[in-house]
Amino acid sequence: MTAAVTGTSTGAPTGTSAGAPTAAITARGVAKQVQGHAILRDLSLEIRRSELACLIGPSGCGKSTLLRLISGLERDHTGELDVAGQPITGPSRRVGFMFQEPRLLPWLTVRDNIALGLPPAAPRRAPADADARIDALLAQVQLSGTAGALPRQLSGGMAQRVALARALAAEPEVLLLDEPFSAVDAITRGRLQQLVLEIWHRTQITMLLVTHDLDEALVMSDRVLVLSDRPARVATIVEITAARPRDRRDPVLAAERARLAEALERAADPPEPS
Amino acid sequence: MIARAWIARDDRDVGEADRAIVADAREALVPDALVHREHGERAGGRTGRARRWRPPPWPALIVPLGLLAAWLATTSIGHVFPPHQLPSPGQVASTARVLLADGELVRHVAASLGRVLAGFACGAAAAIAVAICVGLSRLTEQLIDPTLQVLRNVPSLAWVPFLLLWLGIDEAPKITLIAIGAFFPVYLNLVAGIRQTDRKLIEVGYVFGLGRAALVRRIILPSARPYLWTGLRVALGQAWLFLVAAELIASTRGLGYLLIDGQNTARPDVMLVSILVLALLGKLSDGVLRRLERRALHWTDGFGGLAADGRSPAPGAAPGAAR
Repeated sequence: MTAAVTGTSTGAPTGTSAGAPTAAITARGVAKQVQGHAILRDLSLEIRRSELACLIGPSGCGKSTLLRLISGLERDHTGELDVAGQPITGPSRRVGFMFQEPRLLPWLTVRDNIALGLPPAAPRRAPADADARIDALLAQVQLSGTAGALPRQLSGGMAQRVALARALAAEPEVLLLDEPFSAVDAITRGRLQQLVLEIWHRTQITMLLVTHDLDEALVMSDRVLVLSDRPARVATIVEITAARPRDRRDPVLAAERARLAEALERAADPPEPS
Repeated sequence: MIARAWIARDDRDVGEADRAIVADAREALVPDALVHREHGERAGGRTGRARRWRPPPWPALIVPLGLLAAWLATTSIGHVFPPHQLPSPGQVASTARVLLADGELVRHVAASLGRVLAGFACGAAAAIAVAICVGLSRLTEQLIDPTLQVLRNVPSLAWVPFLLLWLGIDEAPKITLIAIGAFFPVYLNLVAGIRQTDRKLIEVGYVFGLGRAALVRRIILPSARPYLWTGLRVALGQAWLFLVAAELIASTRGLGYLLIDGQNTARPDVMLVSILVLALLGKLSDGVLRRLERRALHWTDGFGGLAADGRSPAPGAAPGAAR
């Protein structure tokens, strides 16, 4: 984790080839078809390093498909799609993914679930180090003491925090989040959002968050990429300039909310050419 | 005594539910450390509790006691059946005592138990190996599965002449026959278990860069374990069935032999002893396997059956607690 922080904050990306790319994620002219239906068409975007960006758009417009393409879970697209300057060939530990559901392995304790995210063979080679690392991650998501619990004993919010710790354990360069807060109650959602923000501040991992919640996008992101209806393209990009930590009652944020709502409406409205 | 155990268990379930609610409520309000320590304790407490023996709940006793009463009523009391057709429970018990005293029964039980365990172990091990190959690969499935499905439908007794022809009349044909019986339940269930692995969990494996072998070892096989255990339990039952088939032919020891011997010497009391011991051993061995299953699958979060009052057990209650 700390390695990732220094690596990105000094602007000297490690582990990438020459020509140090400034973008964490680049898409150029990406198109994707599923069974003859165009899901994405001519989609281009650029997510900066250490940025927290949101993808928002009409439901079913292909936000999740785009995220799954970037993660390498989904394949067979046309066009250019790079993470840190390297084309995506399949799922990789460089790109973390948080699903809508926690997806913990039900037969493993919280500790072993998080160990799944650690570099392969790390738990076997240095079990004490691995344990210490897991404890640190648990503390980071405010779940110290649950290491021995089984997933079925956790509430939805707790399980999602374990999933977050597991994703962080892999030390990804980019973390993709597919509506990870949509299945929990409002209070838990707010706390999870704050937690992810805190971790983002601390680690400076590039994050791309899919959401359908305008307020979530406003609280969380530097920029909101508004996708059009199917086949999806980036219709508008709205910069959120309100100061952090953000307060929902901030008038600047309220103005930005209006702008964003308008942009979303336009994006969902097919006859409007942009 | 039984009633007390029943009540005590109900109390515990309620306590568990309350604690879960409290924990959920606390999660929203207070610093997490408290709640989580409690979760850890609950996890530890449950595994400890699973090992303790509990008397069966009283509804489980109704049918057996009723049958015993009917048996008594129609033999010792009502004399509906003559002793050469259905001996009374008392007669059967005294025969069992005699057979036990001269070591005869122990000898038969040991022979049968050895065969069942050997056959079950061989059959289950082979089935696990084949099921993994078939479950993981469509090609292997197309190659092997149709043939196995045909063989599966061969009645057990049909194998006997060939097994005798190929393997002689020693232990080998008997153990092989039992292994055949144990093979198919394990095979069918494990293949089904591997195939039903949640695609979403496989994706988790992909995201963390697991290779093929690691995916199988860390996600697919563990997730298929509940199916495997069901298969093993059915297979053990099958093993006892096939044991009797095996011992009916060319054997001088074993409970199947005792049964046939009782028939040949017109001793229905010996036949009944043999049948009751077979039933008892079947139930006991299943009980052992069920305990192992419960321990191995303590992580599952299933429905667990309705309780007597029609409610589903408290979420997170020990699996199989209602059984």
